[in-house]
Amino acid sequence: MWRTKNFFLKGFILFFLLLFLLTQGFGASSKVQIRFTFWGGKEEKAAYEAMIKAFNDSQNEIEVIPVHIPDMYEEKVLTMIGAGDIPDIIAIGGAHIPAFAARGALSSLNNYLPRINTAAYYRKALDAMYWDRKLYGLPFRINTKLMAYNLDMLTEAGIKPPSPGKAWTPEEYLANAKKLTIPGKRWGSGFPWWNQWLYQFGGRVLDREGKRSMLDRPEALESLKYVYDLVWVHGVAPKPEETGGMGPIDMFMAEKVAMFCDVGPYFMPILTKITKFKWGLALQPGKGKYGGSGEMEVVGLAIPAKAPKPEAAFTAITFLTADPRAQDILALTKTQIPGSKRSGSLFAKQFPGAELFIKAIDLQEPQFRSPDSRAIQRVLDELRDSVLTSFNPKSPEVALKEAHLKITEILKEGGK
Amino acid sequence: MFKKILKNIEGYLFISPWIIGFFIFTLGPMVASLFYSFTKWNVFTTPEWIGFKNYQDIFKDPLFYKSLKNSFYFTILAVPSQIVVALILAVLLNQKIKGQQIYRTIYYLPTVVSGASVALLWMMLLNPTTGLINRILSWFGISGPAWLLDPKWVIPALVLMSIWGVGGAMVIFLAALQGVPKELYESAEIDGAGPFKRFIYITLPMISPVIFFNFVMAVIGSLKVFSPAYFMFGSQGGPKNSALFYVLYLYVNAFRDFKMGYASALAWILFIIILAITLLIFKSSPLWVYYETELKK
Repeated sequence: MWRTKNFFLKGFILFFLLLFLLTQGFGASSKVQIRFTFWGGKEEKAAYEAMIKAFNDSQNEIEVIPVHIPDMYEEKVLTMIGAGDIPDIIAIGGAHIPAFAARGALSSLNNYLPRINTAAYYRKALDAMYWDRKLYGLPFRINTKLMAYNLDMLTEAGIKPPSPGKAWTPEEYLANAKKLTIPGKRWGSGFPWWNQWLYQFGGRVLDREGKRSMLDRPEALESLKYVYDLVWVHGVAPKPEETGGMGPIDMFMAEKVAMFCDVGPYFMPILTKITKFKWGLALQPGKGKYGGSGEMEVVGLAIPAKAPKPEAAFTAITFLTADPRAQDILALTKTQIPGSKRSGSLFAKQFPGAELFIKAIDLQEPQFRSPDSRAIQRVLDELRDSVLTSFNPKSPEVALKEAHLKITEILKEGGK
Repeated sequence: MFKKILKNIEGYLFISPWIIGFFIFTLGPMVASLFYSFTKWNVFTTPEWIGFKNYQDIFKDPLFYKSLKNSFYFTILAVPSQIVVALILAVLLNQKIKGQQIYRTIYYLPTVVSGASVALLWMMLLNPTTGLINRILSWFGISGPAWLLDPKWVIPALVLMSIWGVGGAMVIFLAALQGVPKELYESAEIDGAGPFKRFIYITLPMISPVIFFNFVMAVIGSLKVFSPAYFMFGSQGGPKNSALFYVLYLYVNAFRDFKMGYASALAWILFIIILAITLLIFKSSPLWVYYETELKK
């Protein structure tokens, strides 16, 4: 009996000992190892891993280990930080930098400023990495937005496409959308994304400091009414229930819409596969000097506060965001605009219309930023859903006023 | 005492993985969550003790009531529907017909499909213009609603989706039906009872413990509904917050708004609500659940 017990006891102890030893990581590298978390699909993962390899091959002291998080990225990074398993570098949307920085989650890079070649980056992209006068990241990549149009449909309707570098006005866009709409067959415009049109009318969600709601300005009401009228008054864009679950790009490819805005470079792999009709890219329509305007996304690389190896992390992010050996890889994907100017020039040569994505950097604004950006985005989503709907829509005036008050209240309570 | 432990050490070692797992993954997080519910904590800084403030704020929060109302509405519609449909399917699949095993497999399959795939599938089915459901309704001259785009129809749409996944409850009912003694049916038949009376007076009472089990599980599961709403609407909660369920609201507070303390308090309130409802159901069970082993006084 005792022999049997002894046997099982020894077996269990041996098993757990083996398990323990296996987790100790034999054969660890002599280089300083740092972890870099990022999101993205298959192509993005491949590109970032190639950039990381370029950094690792360029020197012998630091090894960056890629940690790809394909979905629920922020939740997982948050959980890692909360559990004390802090990565050394995180990819982060510029819009979220204030939310993380205000809560002490990011390390300021101000001490490193003398070592940063700020002239290498697009000014607006670098500005998007600041919060409260402190730099929290370096620009990694940018998504600006353009308008795509079906050239065959425009030609058929006798419409001259916008000349490169010159945007239509909203009136021209509406007039052309009317000419292009064939009831029962196609719409002139894809469903309009109000977040973009707000900027195209010269409006914005918050002021530049992120302290005040700008939804009480006339541009906000004008843009919201314009977008509503495109769908429900003029009928030149499909109602949500008429889209059949298809997004604007799907409807464009299916020749159900003649043109649509909010086209990012990530649509290029899909658009370049179109062979059944000719298409083109143009700056987004805009009112007056806001032609080409819109909301652009800037993704940066940041170092979390309490990251184990900040010095090594800084060396890595400087390379990944500014060195052509890394950034050129991004440019050559043709789907992502590099955050550095030199590689941005390379991107501009990759396909017809690519130069417009680069031109748009000077015309567009980074996404609104606030420590409470998420709560504010929720208010904007509710505003949009309550107005741009076929089911008891609220009047734009009432909805904007309510949203303005809610956002003002959120900003007053502060981001803690 | 020590000798007794030594004597049983083998047994303890065998159950140790479960015990360790329970402490690390269940009890430990529950205790931690209770602590955090009394703090203000955004994950990045140390938790700050604020006593009952989170609970006080919750009871003043309109979205708390909205999310609770949505969850209760969903539960009231989903639970009876799921139980009835699962029982009907089980009765049908209990009949001795050709291909019985194939039918049982087919009706169980939806249960094993992942939440994201189910959500995508149902978004297509429920599409107001191109979806299959509205197309079938149009054959009968019925103009289908806008389902996921109309705040009034979002929850009924999600209930419909939940009924599709009743395979688990159906299998449990099937097992219970097969456990009903055949002699009872035979003697009832001899006494002139038709199929309906046999179902009401024999089948239902004999499987009432299983109905009770499925009922409790369905209520708990429905009050905790999250995945369908999240996969279909993200953290937005659907048109006019019509799909903002309680657990989704908890998730939004925790992972989008960095309010871990507040979210932990929400979790404990839900725990108390579900516990109270479950105890109520248990208390009511002597009135309608029949156990064969019961001895009438």
